[in-house]
Amino acid sequence: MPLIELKNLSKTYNTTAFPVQAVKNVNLQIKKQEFTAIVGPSGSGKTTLLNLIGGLDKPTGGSVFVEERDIATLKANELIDFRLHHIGFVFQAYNLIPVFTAKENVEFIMLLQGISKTIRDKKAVELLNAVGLGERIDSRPSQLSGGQQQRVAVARALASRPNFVLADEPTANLDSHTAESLLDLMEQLNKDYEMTFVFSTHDPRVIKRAHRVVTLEDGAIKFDVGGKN
Amino acid sequence: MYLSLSWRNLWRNKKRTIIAATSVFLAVLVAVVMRSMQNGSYAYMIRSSVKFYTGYLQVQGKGYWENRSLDRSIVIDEKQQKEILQIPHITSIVPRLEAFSLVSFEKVTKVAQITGIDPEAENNMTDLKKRLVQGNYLTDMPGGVLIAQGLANMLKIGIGDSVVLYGQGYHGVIAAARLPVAGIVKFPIAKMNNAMVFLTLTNAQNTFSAYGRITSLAIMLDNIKNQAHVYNSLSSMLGGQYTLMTWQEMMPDLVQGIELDNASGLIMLIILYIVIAFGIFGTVMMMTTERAKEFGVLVSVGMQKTRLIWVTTLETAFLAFLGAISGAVFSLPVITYFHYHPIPITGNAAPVFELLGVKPIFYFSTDPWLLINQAIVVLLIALATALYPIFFIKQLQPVQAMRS
Amino acid sequence: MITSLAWKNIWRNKKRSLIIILATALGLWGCLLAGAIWMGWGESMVDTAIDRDLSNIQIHKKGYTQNKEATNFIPDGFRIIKETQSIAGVKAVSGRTLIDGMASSPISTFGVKIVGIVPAQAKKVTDIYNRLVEGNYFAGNGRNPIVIGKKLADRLGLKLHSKIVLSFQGLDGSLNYAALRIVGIYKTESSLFDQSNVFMQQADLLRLLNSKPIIHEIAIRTESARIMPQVYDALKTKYAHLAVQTWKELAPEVAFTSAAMESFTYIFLGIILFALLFGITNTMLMAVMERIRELGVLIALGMKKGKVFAMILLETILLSITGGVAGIVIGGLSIAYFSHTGIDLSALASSMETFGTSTLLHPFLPLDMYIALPVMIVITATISAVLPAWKAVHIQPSAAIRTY
Ligand SMILES: Nc1ncnc2c1ncn2[C@@H]1O[C@H](COP(=O)(O)OP(=O)(O)OP(=O)(O)O)[C@@H](O)[C@H]1O
Ligand SMILES: [Mg+2]
Repeated sequence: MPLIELKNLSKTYNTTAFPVQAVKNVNLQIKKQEFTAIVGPSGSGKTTLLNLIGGLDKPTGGSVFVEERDIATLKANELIDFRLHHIGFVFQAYNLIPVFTAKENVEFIMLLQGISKTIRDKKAVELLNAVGLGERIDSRPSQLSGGQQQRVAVARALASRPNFVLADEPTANLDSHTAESLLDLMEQLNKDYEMTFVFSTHDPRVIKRAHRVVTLEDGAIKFDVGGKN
Repeated sequence: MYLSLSWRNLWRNKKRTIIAATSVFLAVLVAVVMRSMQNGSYAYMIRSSVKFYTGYLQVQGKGYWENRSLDRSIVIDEKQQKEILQIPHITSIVPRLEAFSLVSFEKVTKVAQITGIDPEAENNMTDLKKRLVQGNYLTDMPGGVLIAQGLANMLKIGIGDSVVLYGQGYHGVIAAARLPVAGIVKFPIAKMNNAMVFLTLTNAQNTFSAYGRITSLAIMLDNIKNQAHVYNSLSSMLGGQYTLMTWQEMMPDLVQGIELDNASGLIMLIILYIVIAFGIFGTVMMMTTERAKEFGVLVSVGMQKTRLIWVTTLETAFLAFLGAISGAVFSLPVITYFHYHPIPITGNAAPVFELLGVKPIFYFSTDPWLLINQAIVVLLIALATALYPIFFIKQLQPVQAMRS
Repeated sequence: MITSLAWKNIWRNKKRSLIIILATALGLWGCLLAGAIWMGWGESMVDTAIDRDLSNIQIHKKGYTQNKEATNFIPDGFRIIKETQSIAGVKAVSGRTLIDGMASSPISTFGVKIVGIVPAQAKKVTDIYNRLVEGNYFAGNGRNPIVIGKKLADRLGLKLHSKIVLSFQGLDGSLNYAALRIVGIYKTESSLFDQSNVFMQQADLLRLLNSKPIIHEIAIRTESARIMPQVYDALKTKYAHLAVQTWKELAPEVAFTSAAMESFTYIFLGIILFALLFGITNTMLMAVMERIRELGVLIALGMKKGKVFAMILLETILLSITGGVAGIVIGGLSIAYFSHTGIDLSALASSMETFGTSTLLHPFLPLDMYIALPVMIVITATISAVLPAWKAVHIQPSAAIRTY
């Protein structure tokens, strides 16, 4: 049983002068515990695809099934709760809450889940240590470098113990050492907790470690390599 | 943590928040000071006008108010007066007999309003003795008359000279008397200063052949708040025999003047509130749109919109409370100061107030409800602007918001 | 170039700019309309008082106003009436013989002013003839006709064609009584006036007084209000031995109330602009913060600080003036509309009447207010621009470009 199944998924933007078909008839199944990289040139539709999977955007054709449930059938509030409890997001532009410190950013998602203060504290510090930001837990996003912000974003995505993580270029701004340790952490979680990962990336370090590499071009799948069948 | 999220968002742009809160603060301050001055002055005007002549209530004969005829005078004997005084909250009662008559001295004749008074009671209520500029105040002895200064000048009469009263008495009897001038009193209002003559009630009753009768019984109360209460007990006690007039009926000009001034003040306040509402709305809108991206993220990571709405509403509430409470707190010493140091009116305005028989001074009320009401109104306006972020978040599309 | 850049910048955030423009426009509109109504009310009060009784200029014998004795008549009064009629700017002149007296009926007695007029003259100066509710204005040729106010008629219980008894002192000091026939009953906006003024034909009054022709008061209407000062000066120099007074001196309280309306409007405008100041500052502060990166780049590229300051200032002024002009235009249009149709305040009629004004108001604003207002707005805008412009000037380019 696939965790995520995309059926004839399409997305066309009509907001521009001429319609842009960002995702074209994508059929894809992602199993539990897969570690998948979606690659492709800039503008090929990676971010759009991740947004569709996460239910942030509505497809113009086809559907997204998560655990055999069409997410289009979820009500707005259910969808939000679904994201809160099942999905971890790492956005391409980090999108941290500017008035919160690194720790509070991580903690906040757990607060939304209703987790108690002591556990929140402990886990937030653990996660930030794991992404190598143990020293900077009380810094605000504006006081952090791009790469540091990105790591806080990763920690935040992992904090909710999601079933699967959608990460948009999570290593784009990181040096190899930090990138590798971040990937180690994700691999660990993937193994220990059967957490499923879907990345969009250009980074060969990520591609090298991925179990499966899906290549997009002009919104359509060109290659689909690897994957446990 | 939601609270702290709101609180910190507010201080993300300190200047903006301070400016918005200051505008709320000033709105409350201006509103409170304005209302305090208006209400204080009204209360003072009512108190002094009532004390000046009419009293809070008057017992009169039926139809007296329309005709001012001696034929409509009434008899209220001592027993009845005692009973009236026993009604709680009534502090004093002042009987009077009033009539117009000609007054002459040597070759000059003028028209005057003759008022028979109980010297003691009258002085307790209206401070008539303080108006004395020459001679002596009336005593119960069969003394003379007090004559208003302007009238005395016109008659060219002095202390000790005898003035002749000549008019129409009870039931058309000719009224005539010759009485010595005991004292000269001065009134701020020219119309009164040129027309008032006082004598003892007994003298007046004898002159106008209205033995034992009065035209009105003015009633003073300890507090205006008890007026309705006293009115009820008094009218049930008196039955349908007499007419009971309130100061509102006797001084409609004062009532309507207050109403008109109050309406102007309220219109000013409403316009001010509209401007302030726009200012706060603008600030709230900016705070909202500026954070569209952040809202997008929060919804994307799984924050329910209703929670987000709470956070933003809390922000607006903080802002509003900050401004409204500090405004109320700050205006308290301001109005308290002015309450004890009322502002004197100078220049052209002074005579206008004197025409109304009121000292030209702006009084300030320190009624706590004034503060509370204005603070609440401004607070509600500020909170109403929180509808914008609610609407904004309701229709928020997280992906688009994040792209902006 | 810089103006068009500033203009475009304003419209970068349409909603935000519109809010502040709307706030300015609505605030000023409300302010102007309220001010115009107050001023229309003040003017209506003046007009009614002038039409009823005051006229534009009055001449008395010196000292008459202090001592209104019959013997204080204007020497050679009839010649002066003739002379003044031919002075440039004078529209109409009416001579009045004034006697204080008492009006009685079987029911009651009141002090009144007996005004002896030549109806043909008086009609051109005051509009009592137009205010009759019953009867006529000396149209018949019965003996000793009199026109009295409704209020007095009610008080004395008299009807049209009833007899009223006047008692007054003759020039020689003797007391006179006269029974007169009521031929007309008038009602003006002032019940006090109606209660205390009765009109007789001059010839009748003089005959009753047994006097040679005398005049105590000459009431003069000028062609327009604008020419009044000129006529006043001419009369003042010509009749230096007499008391020449404008209505403003005669009724300072009316003049004051009317003048106070204008100051009142300015104060109110000041308060509203002050409130707007905060909104404008906040909006512009946001505009600067939002463009911090862009402004940083401009400064980095070498834009002079003075220029940056000027640009923000210009934007602020343009923004405020846009709202201001909108407010002035809708304000002006609605005032023009209402001054054409008049605002019917009959709902408030009773209260307006006690204040002596007719119930149809014609709101207006003096021209200088339309000129002063844009200046006030620009001043407000300049003050509001200081903080945002200061902020813009002090942007650190390196930090600004990095800003998240
Ligand atoms: N909201 C939008 N409105 C219109 N067009 C859009 C929108 N979002 C994305 N696109 C277009 O859809 C296409 C795919 O965009 P997407 O962001 O998914 O690319 P990407 O693969 O993530 O690129 P990159 O590697 O640069 O991040 C692009 O051509 C982009 O211009
Ligand atoms: Mg992308």
